[in-house]
Amino acid sequence: MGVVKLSTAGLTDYQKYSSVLAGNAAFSPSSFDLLESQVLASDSASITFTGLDSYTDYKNLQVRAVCRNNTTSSGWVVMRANADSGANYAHNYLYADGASVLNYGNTGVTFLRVGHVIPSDGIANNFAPFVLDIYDYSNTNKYMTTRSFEGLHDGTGASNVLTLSAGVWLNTAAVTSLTFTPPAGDFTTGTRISVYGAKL
Amino acid sequence: MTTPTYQLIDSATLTSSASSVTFSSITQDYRDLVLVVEALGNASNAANVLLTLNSDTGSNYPYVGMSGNGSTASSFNGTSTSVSGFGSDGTTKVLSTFQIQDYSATDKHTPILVRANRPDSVVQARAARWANTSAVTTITITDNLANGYAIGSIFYLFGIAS
Repeated sequence: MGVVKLSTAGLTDYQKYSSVLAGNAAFSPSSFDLLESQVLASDSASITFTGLDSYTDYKNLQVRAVCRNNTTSSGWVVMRANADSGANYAHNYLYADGASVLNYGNTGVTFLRVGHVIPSDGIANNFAPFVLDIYDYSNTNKYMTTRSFEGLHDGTGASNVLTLSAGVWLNTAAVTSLTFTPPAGDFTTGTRISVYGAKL
Repeated sequence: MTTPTYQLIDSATLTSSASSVTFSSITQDYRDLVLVVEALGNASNAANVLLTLNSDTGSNYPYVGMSGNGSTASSFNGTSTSVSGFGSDGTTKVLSTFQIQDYSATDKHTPILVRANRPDSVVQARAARWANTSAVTTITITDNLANGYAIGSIFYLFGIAS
């Protein structure tokens, strides 16, 4: 026999709702999630994220970072996929230094340029940011492509940089790891790199 | 388990013109902030969107930028009393996006990456920083000509999880 009436007999306290949410907010599943993050508590020669193939719900990645290193080099942060240090990358970028806009392109390089660091003799507490988008990282029918937006202001002249870049890893393997390396020495304490996933 | 992120913290859609928009008492629960400004100016002369943090209007915002107008690419740098996006002339809405990294950190200056586009005239990018190690608790958006923002201007503040 079907239920025709629910009895409140025996209940000491109850609240009647007309919605199954029962007064709670609706839950909307996120499509952009923090996957992993590393904030250095001590200097490190590189920062690596592994096991990225375990995140099967995601199509693209976004890497957000602020970087500083322990040498006087203020050069590029570079990225390699799956520990590939062969000449399997290409990139192009617009580069502004506060005086002019320059255009660069390289093929057959051994890394992708994705950001800069503030050097050890740079302004105290200053870290250089980058936001890097990585597309189709797990698709085995496509090369991994990237887009980076980064820059820094650390004083006058050559200490100031802004770049917009595009890159490609010429390999159709699914990306399982990403390694970020400073131009020289180590990333310093406080350097932070976070990897986010954007869902299908 | 992954941490859900990219949450809308606050927003403002103007139903009357306003000289400024302020987001205050910003939660410190996130790693980065993303401010999206879809601005419609209040006057025919286009003014730049200006952003200041924690009501600091001192010369504490150094920047480097690049700009293209369809015929010329240029770069510039300096120190300002605010971080600049791009403004509207009252006819065409303009989109400025401010990536504010590590905003709650108290051991870092606040780095800010800006993309600002006025579709009929200019595309621009900037790298700036707020030369202060205080956590960001307030964001104020004004413009450089005191024109203000017209009805329909939209301001979104998103938090990205740590």
